[in-house]
Amino acid sequence: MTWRFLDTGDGDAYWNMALDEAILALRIEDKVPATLRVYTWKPSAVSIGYFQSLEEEVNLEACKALGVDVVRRITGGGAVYHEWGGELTYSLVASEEELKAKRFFADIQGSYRVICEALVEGLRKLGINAEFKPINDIVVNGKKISGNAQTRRRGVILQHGTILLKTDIPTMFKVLKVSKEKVSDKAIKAVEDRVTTIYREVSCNITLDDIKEALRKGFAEFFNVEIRPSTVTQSEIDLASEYRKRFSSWDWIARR
Amino acid sequence: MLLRSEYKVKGGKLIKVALEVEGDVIKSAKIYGDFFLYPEDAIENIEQALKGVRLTSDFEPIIAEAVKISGAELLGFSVEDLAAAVRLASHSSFG
Repeated sequence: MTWRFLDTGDGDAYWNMALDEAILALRIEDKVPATLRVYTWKPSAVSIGYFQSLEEEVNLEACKALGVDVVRRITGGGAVYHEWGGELTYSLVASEEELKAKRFFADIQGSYRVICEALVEGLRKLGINAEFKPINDIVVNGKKISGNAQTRRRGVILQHGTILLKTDIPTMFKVLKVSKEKVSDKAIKAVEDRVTTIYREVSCNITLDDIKEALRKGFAEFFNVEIRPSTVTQSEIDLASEYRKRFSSWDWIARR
Repeated sequence: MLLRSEYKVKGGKLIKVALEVEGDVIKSAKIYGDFFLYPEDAIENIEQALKGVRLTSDFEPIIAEAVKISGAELLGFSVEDLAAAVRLASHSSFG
């Protein structure tokens, strides 16, 4: 069975999360094949994990002032600042069964490992010596380059994750609530020591298309499957339009 | 009265607990954090299970039971961590 590759380009936070969930829902009904999607966030946005407190994680006033959207994910994990031009997000939707048939795993942590290792394969194509670091990170020489989060419904997995291209730590510190001492120059330096980016590891000349293609090839080789470029179906657009209303509603965003 | 705690799990995840208490009884409990729990809505069953529980209780079996009933799986933290985070919040009333 051929998998599908979707490059949906720029989308706003609500659409981006809605489309991931729509692909998941339609994969459950077997209406779409396993799908690797890549996308970017425009305007820049903060996504928080399912279990996080909006109030405690996000500086809403700063977001508003900077034109940064805020969305709650259906996946757990931490808050992410998705800077437009500063990161690339991927999502993989596939049934547990079809993933296991290609690369066996025994438990949830194992499924993170397998999917992250496909991503690692893609990053290696760019010359980046990345590795999976449990629970849900990908690191280069110990520095985080990607964070990942997963949900599962009726035997189907949705894992999405962010891959850093460059950092804007001062803005990140404005939109995410971090304690005062963390905003100091020293703290900014500390984050810079703990994270790395594609531009830093490779070169600023690398294009987004190069990275997307490396990911497609990395996943295809790792899972030994053909991943063919395709387009979003009308049912995905319809369903995502429905879901988008929920993702953009205050009830959902501020539910915890 | 609102009691709060932040509990850093070994491995990096953070659990935040907020307990609304009346006397020494939990009226409502909220558990926040950057952990993973499957299925996600099991968190509400766990929070619900802590309702009406005395602050001096052993939270671990209560949480363990809620996790079991929900068929939930935890990643990045354990039932013991969660109980420790709730205990930490319950103790904040004496500090």
